[in-house]
Amino acid sequence: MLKAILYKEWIKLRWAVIVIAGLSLLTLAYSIGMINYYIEFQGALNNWLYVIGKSLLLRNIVFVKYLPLITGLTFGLLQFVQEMSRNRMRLSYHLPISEKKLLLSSVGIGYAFLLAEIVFLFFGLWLVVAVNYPAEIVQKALLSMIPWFLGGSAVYFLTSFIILEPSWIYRIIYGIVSAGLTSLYFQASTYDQYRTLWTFVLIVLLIPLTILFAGHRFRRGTK
Amino acid sequence: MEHVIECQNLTHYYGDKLVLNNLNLKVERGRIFGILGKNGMGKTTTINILMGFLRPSSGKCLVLGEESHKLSPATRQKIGLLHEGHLAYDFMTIRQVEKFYSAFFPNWKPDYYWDLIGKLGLSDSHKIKNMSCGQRSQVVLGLIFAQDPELLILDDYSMGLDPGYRALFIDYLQEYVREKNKTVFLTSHIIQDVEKVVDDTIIMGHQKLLLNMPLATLKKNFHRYEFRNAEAVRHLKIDDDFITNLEFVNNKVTIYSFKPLREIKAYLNAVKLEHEDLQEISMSLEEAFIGLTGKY
Repeated sequence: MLKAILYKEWIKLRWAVIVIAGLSLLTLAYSIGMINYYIEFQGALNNWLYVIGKSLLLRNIVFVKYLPLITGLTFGLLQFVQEMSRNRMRLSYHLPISEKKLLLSSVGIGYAFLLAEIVFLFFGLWLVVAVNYPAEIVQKALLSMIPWFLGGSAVYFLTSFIILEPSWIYRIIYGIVSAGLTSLYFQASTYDQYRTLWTFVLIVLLIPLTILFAGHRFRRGTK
Repeated sequence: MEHVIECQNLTHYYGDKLVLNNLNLKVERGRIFGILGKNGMGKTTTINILMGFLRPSSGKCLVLGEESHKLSPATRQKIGLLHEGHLAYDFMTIRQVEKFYSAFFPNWKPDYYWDLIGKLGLSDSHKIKNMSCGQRSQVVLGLIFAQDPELLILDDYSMGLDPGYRALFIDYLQEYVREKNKTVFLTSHIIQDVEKVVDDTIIMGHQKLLLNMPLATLKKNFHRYEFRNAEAVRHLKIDDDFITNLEFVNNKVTIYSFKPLREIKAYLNAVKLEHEDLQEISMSLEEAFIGLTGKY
């Protein structure tokens, strides 16, 4: 049964998985180009002062920051808008599988694809930065990116939760709260602005539980 | 007698609005059961409760022995659902949807599916979202048959279907159900089709059940009488014992009743109403439905 759910989610996500992987490759290529450009035209010393003094690296590459968010949003929308339009979720709820297992496996599979995309981009950027900068800078640059990547995860779970919620009023309320929550992940652009990454991790881990709540409300016939 | 569906004192409110009031019904194994009612009489609410997508305000509905709002996966495996509008995974192709569903049902019978799909003359890679409503209905019916369920719940199966596809749907359904001794619970707006296929019928009125009986009994015992008398409008009124419904058009009087002709004659004599041309007019199920529920 899990294999069948994987098959269904793959049908929904496959084009997005390929397009996002392509965008990740372009982002990596662009990052290499930008770093080389700065070193070449600013000079290594100026670039070093810029990176150290202003605590900035990869800041100008907007895609590095927002690609995980775009991926989370796209995957959530593609997976669950199709399920909820015309109450198609009823088809899934009638399958001979428990409601919890169905929801958690659908979300788990979507998240596994998202994680694969994020990990690919993260390690790609690691390599790109590590080739040009010393270990301390690499560590700080990557640490500053972690909230953005966690933000992509939060956006995926929150999008899924909002779409699965059957009531439009609740969706709007959840949407506003989610926008506020998500913005926390994307506020900082420089190193070391976030000292408590665990809070972000904890939030990401707790959000999937809300999906079960929305699914249960749909099942009960809440309008 | 074993009951596949059994609803006891089913009551449901939407906010303060009462939609179902103490509904009781039983569906015997191997029977085809049709539920009819005008819009807003609680048909969809009843179906939603049976399908497990709505928890009743009070009362309960047992489907294959389990409460409908908490059916176990094993019981859901034995129930084939056709959702209103022939709901399907539109983003899948003909082959993909069969592959997906077959993984969930151990008794999967692919021949039923491919036999129906073969009639459509479409390639396996045809997406469901690019099909007409009629073609989609065949895909959905094929998936339900292949599932080999004990009970089929079909919510407004005729919706959006042209006469050809409706006939095809009914033909396949009848053959499958009779041959395999399945139980069916269905609703439809096309009463002529329901008449061809159901064994038992219930007709729902405003917050109450107007009738629950085998179709043959309804046809035998529910009558329509006509006579002409301009005075009748002042003497006759609806009375649950004798006159189920009444219509007056100019001086023509139409009486719907469960009483035989001789008792109606006696009744009209008792109220001193001339009825020399009183005669019984045969009825289709649709006319009986209108007779029971009224035209408005």
